[in-house]
Amino acid sequence: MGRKKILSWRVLVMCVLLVLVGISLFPIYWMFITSFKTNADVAVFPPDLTVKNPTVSSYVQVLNRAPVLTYLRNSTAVCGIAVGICLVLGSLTGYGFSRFRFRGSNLLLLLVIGTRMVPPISLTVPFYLMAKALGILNTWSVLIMCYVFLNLPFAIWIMTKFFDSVPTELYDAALVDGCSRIGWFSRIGLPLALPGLGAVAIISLLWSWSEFLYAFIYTLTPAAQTITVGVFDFIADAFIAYNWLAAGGVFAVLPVIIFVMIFQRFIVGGLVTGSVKG
Amino acid sequence: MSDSQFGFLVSLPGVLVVLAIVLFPIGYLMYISLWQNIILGVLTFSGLQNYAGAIHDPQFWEYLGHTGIYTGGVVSLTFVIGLIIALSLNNIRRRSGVIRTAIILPWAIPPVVAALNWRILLRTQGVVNGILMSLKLIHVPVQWLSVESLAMFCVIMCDVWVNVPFTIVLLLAGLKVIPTQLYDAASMDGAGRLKAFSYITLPLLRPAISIVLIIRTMFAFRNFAIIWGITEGGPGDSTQVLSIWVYKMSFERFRLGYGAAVSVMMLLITMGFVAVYLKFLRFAPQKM
Repeated sequence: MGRKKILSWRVLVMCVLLVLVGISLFPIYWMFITSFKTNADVAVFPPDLTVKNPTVSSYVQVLNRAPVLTYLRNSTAVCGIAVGICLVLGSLTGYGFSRFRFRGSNLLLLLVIGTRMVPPISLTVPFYLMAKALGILNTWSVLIMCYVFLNLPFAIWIMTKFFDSVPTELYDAALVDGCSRIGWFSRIGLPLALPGLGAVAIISLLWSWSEFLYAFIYTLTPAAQTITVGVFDFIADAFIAYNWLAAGGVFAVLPVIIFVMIFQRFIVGGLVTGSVKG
Repeated sequence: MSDSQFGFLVSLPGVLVVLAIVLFPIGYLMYISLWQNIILGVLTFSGLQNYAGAIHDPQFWEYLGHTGIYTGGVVSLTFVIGLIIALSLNNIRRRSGVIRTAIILPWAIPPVVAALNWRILLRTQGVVNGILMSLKLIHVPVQWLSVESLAMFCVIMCDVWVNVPFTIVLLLAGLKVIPTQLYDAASMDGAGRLKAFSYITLPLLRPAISIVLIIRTMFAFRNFAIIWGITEGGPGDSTQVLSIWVYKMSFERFRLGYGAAVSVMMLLITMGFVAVYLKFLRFAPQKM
């Protein structure tokens, strides 16, 4: 009974996996396929499941009609700077919360994490008025502000947990040897917390790249628009050139796919760390 | 300088940034919610009028209903599907980077792009209709995004597609820490698979389940990008959820005070959810 059961169980698992991978990848596959179809092929019904006459004309159209490279540049800059700020501030605050439990630090940590409960849509108007007053609408700065809002609490939380996991002996011993508190941070603490920083960086970069609402509202011209907004711009009211839309989507998604392929193990690790001890 | 003082100083920049970016705008938001612009451009202080107005506004309840249907559908489907898949995948020995990439991808790509993808898939002359027709399941192309109830279904399914990976990852992590000896002991005592599931798996999975449910509920309730990407709230207003309504009110109709009031109510509802979940899911006594 044992052997037969294991075999049929394995087959079932394989089927589940196959269906899962298929469903996960099909829409993305379809986007790639559609982006290489000619205008005529896109209008065919029922649509071809493969591309018979692949063409890059959609990509050419997209690059001609939209400042895709500018969008990508903006996305990269905004995400990079925002996540950089979160890493610096997050690790410093995590160090402070974790190693020196000063009065009120627990409350502050709860408060910081609690800010996740605020729906992003709720802050769109205050942010808008603040950004207008500061004159930073339609610039990188307003998006950096928004993305720091979205990611800093997470960074502080993860870094606090990571510093919590560093044994006190390492700290005490170093101080006995004359290391200063800030010196310990830069020379021992940070290198030890690198996995935590990595997890924060990877997840925050993914979230920021994918962010739509704030970029949509606060950036009106390609000067500062990110790739997610740029792709959305391709929707015309009357006629939607689906192959062009797909090509635009590929520009937004390809960096993510490459990123995920390289970092998939850390993404899973980061998600688990961030949630295992809620 | 004492340890406490040092810790406080070192944490200060991060905390200050969070407070500045969050608490101040929330206060500002509540302040805005107390004003109305009945005549365009002229703001009058109206106290809690906006809140009273919302409670008496049938549109508020209609869109709250849409949000509820969306959130309920998304959370329950994502959870059930994710749980089934996580249970099936729990015993796989081989770690495959390729498969892991494939499974995570729906979650990793920008949700608005995923939504646009689904828009392409579901158009009347699109591939979903094509496949269904060649399988002879339907005879006429279905207008997925033009029929009101179907549109809501499609939007829910897209959100499920995007977020099941997250659920799988978390539930799998939770499953991995359950010691296999428990299952061995149970089967020696004659417990069937269903009993093992209800008395071992579910209780020990409770922390992971509660995190999944809290996070998924919070994020489904506030969703903007996915619905906006597929239907922009349409057809008509049948998929318009609270977040889209607030956006339209604030940035298309410039009723900033009213939008702010609804925003505050959304925040309160979210806090309510979290409180309820924390009370019943995480701190309920565990039967061991």
